[in-house]
Amino acid sequence: MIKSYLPRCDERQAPHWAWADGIGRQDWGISVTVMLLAAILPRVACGAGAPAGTIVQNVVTVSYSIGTHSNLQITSAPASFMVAEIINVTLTSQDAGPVTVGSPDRNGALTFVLTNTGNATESFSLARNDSLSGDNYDPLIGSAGGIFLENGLQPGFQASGPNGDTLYVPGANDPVLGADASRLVYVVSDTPPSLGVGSIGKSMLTAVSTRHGAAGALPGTTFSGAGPSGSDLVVGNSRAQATQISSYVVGGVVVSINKTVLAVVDSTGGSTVSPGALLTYQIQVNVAGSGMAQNVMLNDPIPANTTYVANSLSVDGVPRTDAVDSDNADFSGGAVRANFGNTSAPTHHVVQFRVTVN
Amino acid sequence: MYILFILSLLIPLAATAGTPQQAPIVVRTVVEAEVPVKSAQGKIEKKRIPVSKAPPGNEVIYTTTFTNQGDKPAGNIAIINPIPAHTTYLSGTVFGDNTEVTYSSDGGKTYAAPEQLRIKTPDGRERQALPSEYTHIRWIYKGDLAVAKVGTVGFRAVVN
Repeated sequence: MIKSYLPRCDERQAPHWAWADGIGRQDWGISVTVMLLAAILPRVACGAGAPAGTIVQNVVTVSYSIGTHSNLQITSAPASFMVAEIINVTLTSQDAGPVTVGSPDRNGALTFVLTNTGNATESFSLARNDSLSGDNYDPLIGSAGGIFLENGLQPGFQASGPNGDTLYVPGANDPVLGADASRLVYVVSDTPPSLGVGSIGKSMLTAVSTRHGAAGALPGTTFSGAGPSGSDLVVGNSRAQATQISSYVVGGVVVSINKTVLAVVDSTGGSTVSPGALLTYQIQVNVAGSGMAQNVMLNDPIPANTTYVANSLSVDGVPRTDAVDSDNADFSGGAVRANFGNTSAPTHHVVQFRVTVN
Repeated sequence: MYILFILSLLIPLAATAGTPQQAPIVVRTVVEAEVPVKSAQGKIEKKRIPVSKAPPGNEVIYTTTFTNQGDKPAGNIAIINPIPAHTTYLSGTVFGDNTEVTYSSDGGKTYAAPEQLRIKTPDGRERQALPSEYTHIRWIYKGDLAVAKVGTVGFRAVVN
């Protein structure tokens, strides 16, 4: 572990997500002395604590002179102790805010990082609690499963497929983490129907050390000889457990279109819809509500008995080529088409084009 | 010829007569922790106990005693203590009566007062070293250590 030149690791540092293990983190806290050999003062280990079982030796050398003899030296026997194991764990939420879901909806994922902030390998059992107060609904266990472990093949939660993440089964695949190692955990939920837009559903993820008697014990609780190499096992400030609450919000996105004839100019300069008249159509595409509409695409066949006026297409006031090319609109197969992709609400687009009456 | 050969083997033993046969200075270092203990009257007191196991975050006290058990005063006494690996020196905790203390931040090559200690930053510049970056502590004992006298020095560190 590189010893950085930061003096004391007193501040909690938010772990930044990385695709591999070994996310740097710090630990902080003040604990109450419970047993001898476990007096904890408000100074806390930096980054990776010394590995449990390490023998720490102090050796002192005295140089001196006596009478006519100088540069004499004597070295002490080592004073040693063994680094005990400390159990600590953290859970942080990786979602910037409530995760948007529909109502009803399936398999919405909340993302957490589980980190072993102790100094030896430990395993942790996970559980979720959806019956929390202060929200509008209780998230349901996801159809694909309730808790998943990121398997490292593809960022983000995948319920299935070749990169499908690993369904968590308590006692069967409790995450085993080395000192300072992290794992991404997903809480996956279905959303009940008939919820209004803005409804909040909270879910709590809990991680507890699988060491018998450790989870929830007072900081400083010591299990003699239970650590690696016969070191003691000491419960750290996190009490060998961690919880984190995150939430979903029901988003409602409504996409609507409104098509009008903006102008009619006939061959005499009037405004009758007659053969040869030039019609200007306007289509308003509206994405309203909250959340994101995915793959918003317009496909508007021109009316029967009309002919599209070449190069009359514009989107949001900017002309577009008729050809199917890199801009987001074209005239193809007798239809005016525009592709707005994933669109966050609220968004408004205006598509215009002209036709002549046959 | 053989007699000369045997004599030459004996001579090296005689040549050591000039140097002290046993070290007149004895040095001992211990590691302890300070723990609150309830006295018989129910008061919480601090007691020092030897440490055999300590988790990261715990504070330990290193105490070194040096004793003159020779028959002449000892002088030019310098005590050098590398900060043990996996621990960090706690600023301001050094102790040692009748000594001058300097520190090293370069692996024991040079010693100086805190204001003069330097560390190279990643971009190649220099800045003052922090106490947590000290690599060694050195005490210079002032004057002589009289026969049968004991000197005591030490410091506190936290387990990484």
